[in-house]
Order: sequence, then C-alpha cells, then structure tokens
Amino acid sequence: MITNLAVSFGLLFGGSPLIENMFFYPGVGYFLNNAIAKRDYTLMQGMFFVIIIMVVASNLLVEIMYRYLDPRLREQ
Amino acid sequence: VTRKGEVRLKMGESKYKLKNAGNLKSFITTIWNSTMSRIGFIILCIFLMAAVLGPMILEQPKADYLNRLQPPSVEHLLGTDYSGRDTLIQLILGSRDVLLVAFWAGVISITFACSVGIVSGLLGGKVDSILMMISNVVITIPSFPVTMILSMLIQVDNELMFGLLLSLWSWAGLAKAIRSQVLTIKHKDFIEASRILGLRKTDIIVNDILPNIISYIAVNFISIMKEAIMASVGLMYLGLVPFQGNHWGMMIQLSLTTSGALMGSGTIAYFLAPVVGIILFQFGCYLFATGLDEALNPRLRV
Repeated sequence: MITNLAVSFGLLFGGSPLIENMFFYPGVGYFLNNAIAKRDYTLMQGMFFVIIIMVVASNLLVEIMYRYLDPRLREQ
Repeated sequence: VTRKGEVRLKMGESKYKLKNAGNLKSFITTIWNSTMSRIGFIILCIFLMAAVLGPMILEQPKADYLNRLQPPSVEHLLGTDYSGRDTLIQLILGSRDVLLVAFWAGVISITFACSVGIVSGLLGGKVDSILMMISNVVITIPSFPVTMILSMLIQVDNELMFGLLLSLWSWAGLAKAIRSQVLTIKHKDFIEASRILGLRKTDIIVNDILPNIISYIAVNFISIMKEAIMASVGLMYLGLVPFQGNHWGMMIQLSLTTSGALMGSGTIAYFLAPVVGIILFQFGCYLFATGLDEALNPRLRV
C-alpha cells in the first residue's frame, strides 16, 4: 500500500496534464502540453526532469519510511 | 520422442482441450451468476454490437450547416454538432475506433508483458536482472507524460499505431506481475516433470505455464483496455494525436474548441454524449474485470 502511495505522490507533484489543461491552471502538466504543442524541446526536457525527480524522490522517501513503519526491517 | 509417444501426446492434448471446454461452460455460468459481471458483460456486449453493426447500418453523417448546433430533438436524438452532423450516429461510429484502439493497445502490451515476464521468470539470472531493471525504470516514469511526448515522435495514422503508442509505456507493471506468477509456479511438480522429460522451453511455456496464467492475463487485458481508452481520450482531448475518424476523444475536443459546450450553450449534449459513453464503458470494463477475476480465481469465491 505504501508503495502505491509513493507512485501516486510522485504523480501528484508531476501534475495532471488533463485537468490542468481543462482549467488552464499553470502547472507542470499545462506547460508540458504547451511545450509539446510548440515543439519546445528544452521546456519539455525540464518538465519531464521535474516529474521524474519527484517520482524518484518520493520512492526514496518511502524506502526510508519502511524502516520506521516495519519493525522487521529495522532489526536487519 | 518416438512416433508412439507423439500420438500419446496428441491424445493427451485433446483430452486436455475437452476438459478445458467443460471449464469454459462453467466459466460462463460463473460470470452470468454474479450480478456485477453480468451487468458488465451486458454493457460490453452492447458496445461491441454498436461497434460491429454500426458501420454496417449507418452512413457517415454529412455536414449540414442549416441544422448546426441543434439541441436534442426527435429528428436528432442527441442534437447536432458544429457542422450539423448527428451526434448519436457519430457516437455509434466512434465506438468502433475506441474499441479498436483499446483492443490493439491491450494485445500489444499483453504480448510484450508476457514475453518479458515469462522469459525473465523462467530463465532467471542475468537476463532476469536486466529485464527487471528495464521494467523498473518504465514503471517509475509516469506513463501519461511519456505517451504525450511519444505521440509527437510517432506518426499516428491508424488504430494499430495508436494502440502501439499507448502500449509502449504500459506493459511494465504487468510484466513484473507475470514474472512473480511464473516464479511461484516454476517449481511446481508438473513443470519439474516436464523439465526432467527433456521438453523444450517453448513447450514448457506453451503447455504448462500459459494455461496457468491465462486467467490472470484475461483480467489484466480488460483493465489495460480500460486504461488505454482513458489515455487515448486524454491524448485526443489535448489535441496531440492527429488521428482521422470518429474517436470519442476527438468529439470531446471538437465540442470544447468549436462550440464552447461548457460555456452554457445548447450544445451540451454534444459534449456529454461521448463523456457518458466513456463512463459507461469504463464502468462495464471494471465490473466485468472484477467478475472475471472472481470467476477465474477460486480463492476469491467464497
């Protein structure tokens, strides 16, 4: 369950392209879509970098959290 | 294997198939008996019939600018779009494209996930660690943004290419799940027996492993179809896929950009029709997949 939490937490930071476009909310997904529409490769790279960093960071956070939540792992 | 052995193997195979046919009957009755999967089955059947029969009966609606942006009426049950085409006919014709895209996405990603999962589960060792490393990377990167970027690079001009585009980044989770399934049955007696008999790896995969994980694959096929429809409609809505046809995502995008459906005009039906279609289809998929899971996985049946 916590593993799922990690992935969705990362996605949360990555933003939702669909909803941001729907409401013109200037988030990561909105800019990503604009970048793709305008073939702006550097902006695309940057946005993608942010998303990936967020997912990886939240996965790392969860790995660390496992230590505290699961007593079996702490003893190892 | 001698000639006699071959004959015996074939006989065994036919017996096996007969046994499976009996299972098929009980399988259908199990699906029919549970209310959830029965509703899902009926919904999916209606969509399937619309997709198959629609293009045979109905013609492509022609533009009729005198009757554009009509509200629902007796003549046009769901109103008309920005160029006077009937929305209901578009919706029925569009279901074919939606289903085809979802079907191809499901087939391609299942094939990919199966080959990766079975190979890495069965062989183990270095192949396993390399394949699992690749699929871990694919799992970690969120699929929708990647698909957005890939849609720019890949020229999407038919349903097959669209399915390929959608399945390029959605196979990894299933591959890992299939790998773990293979790992659990890998050391069961019957597989050990066929390995001692000296059967080839392909025989073991086709005759021993696939029948055991086929139910798992069937459930996942439907959930991948569900996700593929969501992603395809999303891409269409963002206008990233220049795909000709009556896809529902195209209808949503056109209704928002050309007629301002959300701004309170009378064309709300044109926007709502594909949305309700998608919701119903997803609902049917979900119910059917849950029921299928119940029917195929005896541990869930109480």
